[in-house]
Amino acid sequence: MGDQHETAAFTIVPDPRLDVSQADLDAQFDLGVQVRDKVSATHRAINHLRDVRRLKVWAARSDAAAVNDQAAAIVAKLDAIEEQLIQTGSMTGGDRLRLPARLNAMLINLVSVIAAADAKPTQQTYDAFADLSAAVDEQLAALQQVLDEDVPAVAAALAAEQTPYIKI
Amino acid sequence: MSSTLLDPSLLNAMKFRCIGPPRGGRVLAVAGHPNEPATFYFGACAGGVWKSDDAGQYWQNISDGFFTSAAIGALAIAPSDPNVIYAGTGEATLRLDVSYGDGVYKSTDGGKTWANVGLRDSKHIAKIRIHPQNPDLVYVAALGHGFGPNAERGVYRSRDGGATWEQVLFVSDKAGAVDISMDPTNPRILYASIYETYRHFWTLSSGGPDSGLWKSTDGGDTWTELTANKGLPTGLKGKIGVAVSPAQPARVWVIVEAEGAKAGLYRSDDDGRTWQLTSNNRDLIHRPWYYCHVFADPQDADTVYILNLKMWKSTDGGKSFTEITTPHGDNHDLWIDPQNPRRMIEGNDGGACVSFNGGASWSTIYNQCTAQFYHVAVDNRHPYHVYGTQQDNSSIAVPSASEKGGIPWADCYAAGTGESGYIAVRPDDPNIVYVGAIGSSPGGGNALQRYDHRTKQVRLITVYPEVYLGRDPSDLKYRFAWTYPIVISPHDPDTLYVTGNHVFKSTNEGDSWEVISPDLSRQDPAKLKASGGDITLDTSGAEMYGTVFAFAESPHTAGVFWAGTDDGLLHISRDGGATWTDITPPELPEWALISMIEPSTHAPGTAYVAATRYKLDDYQPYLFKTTDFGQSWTSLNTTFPQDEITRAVREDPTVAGLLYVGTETGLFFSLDDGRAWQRFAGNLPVAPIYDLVVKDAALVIGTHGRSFWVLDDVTPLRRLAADGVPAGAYLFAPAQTVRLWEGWSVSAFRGPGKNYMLGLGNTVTFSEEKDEHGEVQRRVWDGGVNPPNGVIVYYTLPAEPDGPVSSASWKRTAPKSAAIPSAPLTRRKRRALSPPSPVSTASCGTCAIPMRSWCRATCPTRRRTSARAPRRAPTRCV
Repeated sequence: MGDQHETAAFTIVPDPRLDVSQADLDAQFDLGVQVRDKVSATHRAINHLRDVRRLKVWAARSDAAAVNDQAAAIVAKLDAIEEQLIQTGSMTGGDRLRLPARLNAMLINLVSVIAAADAKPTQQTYDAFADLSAAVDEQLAALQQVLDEDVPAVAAALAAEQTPYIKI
Repeated sequence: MSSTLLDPSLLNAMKFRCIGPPRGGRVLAVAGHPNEPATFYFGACAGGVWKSDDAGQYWQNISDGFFTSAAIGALAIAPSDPNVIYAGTGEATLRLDVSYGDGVYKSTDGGKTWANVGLRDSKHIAKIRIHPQNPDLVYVAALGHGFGPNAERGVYRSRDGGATWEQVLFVSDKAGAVDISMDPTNPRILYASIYETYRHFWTLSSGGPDSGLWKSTDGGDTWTELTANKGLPTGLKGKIGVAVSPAQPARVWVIVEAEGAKAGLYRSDDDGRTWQLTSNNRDLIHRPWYYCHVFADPQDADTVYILNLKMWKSTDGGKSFTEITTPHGDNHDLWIDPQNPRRMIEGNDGGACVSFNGGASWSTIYNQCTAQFYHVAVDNRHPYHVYGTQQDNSSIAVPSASEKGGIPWADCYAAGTGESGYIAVRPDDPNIVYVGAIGSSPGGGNALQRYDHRTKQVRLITVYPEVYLGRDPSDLKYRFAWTYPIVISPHDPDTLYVTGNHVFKSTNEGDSWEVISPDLSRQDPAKLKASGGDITLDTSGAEMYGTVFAFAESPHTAGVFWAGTDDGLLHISRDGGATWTDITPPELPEWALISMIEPSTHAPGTAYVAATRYKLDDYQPYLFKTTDFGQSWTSLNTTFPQDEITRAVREDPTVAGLLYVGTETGLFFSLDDGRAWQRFAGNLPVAPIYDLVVKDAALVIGTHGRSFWVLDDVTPLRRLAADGVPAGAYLFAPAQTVRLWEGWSVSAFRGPGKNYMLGLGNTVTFSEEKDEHGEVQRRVWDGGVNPPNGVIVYYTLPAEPDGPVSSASWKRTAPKSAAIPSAPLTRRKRRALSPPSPVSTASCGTCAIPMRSWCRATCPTRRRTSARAPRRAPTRCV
């Protein structure tokens, strides 16, 4: 209040009815954070590819058909990657029964599994996370390949013909 | 050897009791009395018709004894004569657990009595509409068979109160009527929707070229199709809900399952000639096969209600919607009082509820014993608790007795949140419950919960946590059925088995799992696709296929496993899962669902198998027995009642060959190892029985629509099965009985009418009245019924006695310190048990029981302590 600050420490302890070790809780926390970070990486990739996809707008300003074709090919690749990472058709939560779940939703689901109780993660939760991480990494690698190889080619072409574009 | 059948009336002495829980199940049909403001009716989708005369505070079943199907799909009261009520059986929402009906029932006395008035082969009836002035002119929207084509479907009309029916609208044998709306200002005008749909075990299909919207302007004599009218969606259609506005009769609403953004709510203001899309908000049309319910306000033309996952209301002609919260999600039917639109009754997946303020508040759904259970388990406490998984709700533990005069809702608790699966309680620790929770758990697909009642926490120990929503089952790592088996080894409480397309084993409470079988299913790729049809996928997990649906470990030998799949294969492993042998009965038709395997406790190689093909439009029973580990099979079907589907089979653990079978309409038993079967009727209501368990001397039944029922003492059946029908007078040795202590307030504050006892924390509401035999019967209005307060004594007499059989002596044979006191027993009474013979209509002099009944005397142990029973002690003989 005004210039006055009050500070008090507090402690959160486990429910005394529980029979769970600190090591188990640490393991739960650690895996939860790993999943969170993987979800974040996935969402960063989705946002990034959506930015890069605007390339087609810049490319459309080019008169060169080849440039447009290259941009369209890139967009197709990005669409395919996006469609593996996230379900783009959902409008409300109820749509999940009619539209396939994608990798980000599968990862987020693991958070619910891990956090359901104050307990260490089961072995199969680690296994599922490893499987999903590998699937995400495959898409991220594909995205990186587009960024490293396909995009610079179009950017170079646009630069050569002095068509303005924004470098993402 | 000749078969053993009992005179059915003998069974009337054996009383079942409903222990609750009083937590409602799905309701597709509701109706309000037009003149009595507090009187309402609802039809449970698998629990019969219920009535309240107190605005939904308490409900009582009014269909028991009259209906031969528990599945109610439609309900209508004649506005001009509310004594006339029609009920259509078999819900038209073809959910995984959908039950089928046997036609239309009619009452002309406000629901006191009913009679079937036909359309028995329609199986699933969606709506009934009655002419506003003529109670005999009635229309039925019949969907027809849900699992295959048939002819008895479409719109039916009766002009003579159901005596005769005309099929006035028929489109094809693949499509039936799913909705019908009548213009109350000109009841010649009818709108009806036709819906092409079917369900099989592995898929639900919604929509097809035969789906469409139809209109009649001559009371149903002729019909015109409106489907292609201007403004309605083009392309494939699925389910369509329709409502004509009573407030502005040229206005008609339809909610249409259609492709993409064309799905939504449409309105016509010119009698259906042209239409406009008013909203395609997906919240109005999720899971269209399950919903598509539209209701026009009777007084305000711009007000319209949509029922879906949530309840929605628009007051601007269908453009924008606000939510009306209801006591439970998944909303299906709504009746609005034409005179007072704030007075409503609504049906949802958790029951029926009444509102007098337009939905601002609703009556409770915790006062109706219509829970739909998939599986049932018991623990080893006293009183033992009964566990089950309730459709669209949580798993639950219900005590089998309580000191509170009945079993109140407050004594029940959610043991995990599993709605769907098997449930298993550790025999050495009832605090630990394993339960399947597909569809009702955090953590998504295949959810397997370990519930700890000490902490109330639910740990997810799912075999492999995988999201299946929207995906083809063939793409998944593993497949698990909606009700996949969860079995604790009878040899080791630390060994847990669950089954999907493989059999899995854990010895560390689910921390990790071992795969102990190959994929045991047929793996037909055509049946491993996402469910829903061409328009709208619907992947709740309910159609997951190609899985081990039934599983058991031999009670004799650890590591002997029996596994039956939902696609019709049966395997055995006798080496702990190292090798598996196909032992499918040769007589089992293709694609049968193997529903239950019951290894005998009496012989290692003996097992019983219940299977069913009803979702292939085959309603016959399939029961088999082996005595040689499945090398050969005997069919038990020949004497089993035809047109009954066999879901559950159990053998009595005490007497070999005493079998219990649950079907869609009730309980059957055999005293002679399946040579002869008979229905166990008595006071057990008609209801689907999905699972049953023998607990000591009790038979515990999980119904799918009428909560749990218990028969406390089956020892007479054991005696009859073991030794045959006694020739002379016979006293059945009573089962061990635990004395029931009831709280003092139960009797201290007993009064006429309902007893509430709220002030002392006893929350069951009960009333007591004398039955036709003069015995006081307690009725519980909001909970379960306790066991009889005393020892149940069954006896038979060979013939009608000359005079009253007054009293009998008893003596204490156990020391006073015995945990279970030997009760002051016996009773007067006549009545005989005899081999099959005609039921006499004669009755005894004092209590009007039918001849040839058994008598059941209930001895009030708590109140009687003398060594000699009084000569006129109260006796229960029913």
